[in-house]
Amino acid sequence: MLNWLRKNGFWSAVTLGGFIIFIILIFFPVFNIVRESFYDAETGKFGIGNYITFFTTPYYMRALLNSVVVSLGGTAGAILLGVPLAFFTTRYRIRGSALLSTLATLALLTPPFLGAYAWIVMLGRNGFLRQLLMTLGINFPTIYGPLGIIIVYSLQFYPFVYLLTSSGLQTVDRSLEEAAENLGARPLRKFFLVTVPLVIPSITSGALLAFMLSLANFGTPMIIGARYRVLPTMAYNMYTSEVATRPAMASTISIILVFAASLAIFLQRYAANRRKYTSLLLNRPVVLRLKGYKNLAVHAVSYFIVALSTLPIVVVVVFAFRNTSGPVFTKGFGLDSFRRVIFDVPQAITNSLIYSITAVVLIVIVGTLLGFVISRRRNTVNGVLTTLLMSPTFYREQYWVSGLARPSTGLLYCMEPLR
Amino acid sequence: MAKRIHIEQIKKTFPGVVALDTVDIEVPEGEFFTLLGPSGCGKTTLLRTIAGFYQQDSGHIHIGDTIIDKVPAHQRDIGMVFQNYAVFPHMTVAENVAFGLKNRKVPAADITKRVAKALATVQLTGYESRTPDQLSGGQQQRVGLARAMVIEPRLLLLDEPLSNLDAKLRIQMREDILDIQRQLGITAVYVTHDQEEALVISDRIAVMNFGKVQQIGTPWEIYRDPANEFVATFVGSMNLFTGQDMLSFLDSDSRPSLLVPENKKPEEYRTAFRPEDVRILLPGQPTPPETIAIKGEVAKALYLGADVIYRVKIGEGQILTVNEYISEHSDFREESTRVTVCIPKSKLLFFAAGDGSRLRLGG
Repeated sequence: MLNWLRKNGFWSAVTLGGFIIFIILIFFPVFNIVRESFYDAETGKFGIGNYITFFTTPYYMRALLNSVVVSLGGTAGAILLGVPLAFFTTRYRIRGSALLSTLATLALLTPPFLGAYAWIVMLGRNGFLRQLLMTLGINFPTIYGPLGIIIVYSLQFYPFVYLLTSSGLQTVDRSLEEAAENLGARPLRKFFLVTVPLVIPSITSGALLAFMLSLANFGTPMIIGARYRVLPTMAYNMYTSEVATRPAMASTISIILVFAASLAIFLQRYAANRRKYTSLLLNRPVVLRLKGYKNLAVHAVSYFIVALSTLPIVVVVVFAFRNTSGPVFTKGFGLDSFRRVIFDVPQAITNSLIYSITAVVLIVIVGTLLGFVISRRRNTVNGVLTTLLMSPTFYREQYWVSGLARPSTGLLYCMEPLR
Repeated sequence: MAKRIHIEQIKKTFPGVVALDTVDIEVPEGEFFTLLGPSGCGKTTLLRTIAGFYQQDSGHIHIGDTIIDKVPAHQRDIGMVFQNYAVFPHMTVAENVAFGLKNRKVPAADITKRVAKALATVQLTGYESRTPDQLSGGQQQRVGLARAMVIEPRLLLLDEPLSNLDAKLRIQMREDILDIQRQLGITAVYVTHDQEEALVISDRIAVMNFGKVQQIGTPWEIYRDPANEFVATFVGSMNLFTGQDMLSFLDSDSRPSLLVPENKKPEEYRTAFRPEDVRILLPGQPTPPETIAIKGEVAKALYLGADVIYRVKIGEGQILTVNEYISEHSDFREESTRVTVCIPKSKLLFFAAGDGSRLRLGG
């Protein structure tokens, strides 16, 4: 070992380590899911039987369609919320825009199921908002079902569209918009014929992220999906169901999800690549100070969007302080829930901390070493390593779904022989 | 379509800076007018105010007989060519040129005809379906020019349109721009910081500094008869010496022959003269009448082909620049050659040491 190190140097060892990491953490699990997806659950025969079953059974196709519908819906919602917010905050003087931007990003940091949970508290069958509306004589629909999922996705994922679009908008050369104006384009015409086409790459990358995260999302449809099945929940049920576990089919579904996501990535790359605009000399866009009702409207829309997406977080925070009796919320506020979490299940907190700190330390050390090797020692081997190590970004979320559905196909799979 | 424009007492301040300080300019119909000055002098601010991208704090802009102060930029009907071309990257050349016509709801058949004509004018026929990333900088700027003039605007604004092009192309393009402007008879306001470009292209020039117009005049007037020290030194090169220094360069017996502004002590004025007005005397040649002579030594000789620039050491380490055209009568002087230079008295300019204003001899 020491001899090898002396001969090949430390950095070769880092490269080698990179390959080992790839094989253990990326290649093996994925390979196993792929392999498993080709095995027939009953006969153990190798073949594309699972895929044929998937594409010929209405039950599965329905779930695929459902997945696509809620994901596209969520993406559309994310665009509808994210693009106007990005435009208003980059082009107009908005009071408290720094706060808005922070709150919008906050939605990204909350765990995916938290939003769904908060919406149940608000608009579930006994949700407080819904009951409030009941007393006013309005029978507001519950959050359960596809529409609810789409709303939660939109609010959860619009920050991606918002963040990418606003950075795109900030790099649109001011002169282009001025030229449009100078050539007689009214503000709306200028926006749709010049500004929007120029930030299409940014909008679509944001939309792609929203789409992929929606497609792979498991928590939200699990909590508020009710009978509305999507692929991730189906894969999960197949694995955990006590009656009939079908791990092979679960793997098939995971692979199909990866495929759907790859298709989306491909489409986005195609759309964005044909439109790559770089500017010779960048004149930063001007931030306009609006007056009167326009100013009011722009502020109202921006604050409404951000408030709506922050609402679930506020609800969760408020409910964390509410007193409970068993599973039921009772009157009054207190720190009782916190006390229970800290004293009754302290393990949960320490576990979270230990895992995340360990992960961060590992990420920093491994990431720095590999990053250095890849950027400073450019050669074919390191080039291949970059591509391989970056590949999980393609199926990150699907990978997570699969990991959840089948922990043994994740890292644990490789650990099994060690135990 | 071309209109006279009148900038009347325009003031514009940005937080902490006075960008335009009571600017008053009149440009007659069909004139090629240039705003010249260093960066930050307010020339671009003025152009953008005319285009409607900025709103002046006070004053008026007239085009023809109408005041356009309150007209939004997209209704001003003023063509503009941008420094960085600002050609729409997501449209073809033809779509770029057609953009303004479509905004004006011109019928499709007319659009095709007018686009073709505009592209022919800028020599881009055949490039209709190219996208801007397939064009060179010069071609992109031609698209910008075609796009601005195809709408037949009342006024054409050009914001340093050549500054991103390489030197050779710049020289060719400035003549093309001038040809097109003459051909269309359009009123043009051109912004540049390049004094040579301004002299070549303009009918008249406004030299600006610190948001103020320093002088308005023909290129000839600006160069030969500068209103103040700033204009004199910004446009072309200039030898500039304090009154005391100038006197010290002269032999004691020739000092009285130096005409000085009346009632001015040497420390109250500066003297300036152009390098091309200075002659180097041949050995033994007597000092011509009505000139002053200064002795010195060639410190550097820069050979430019058609002419030579000499840096001549005079007095106590000061440098005087001579620009001499090479003819059959001139010698090339090596470094360290001792020479006598002479300057016609009529070519001497005097500026007040305080504010740089021009001082005229004899009143």
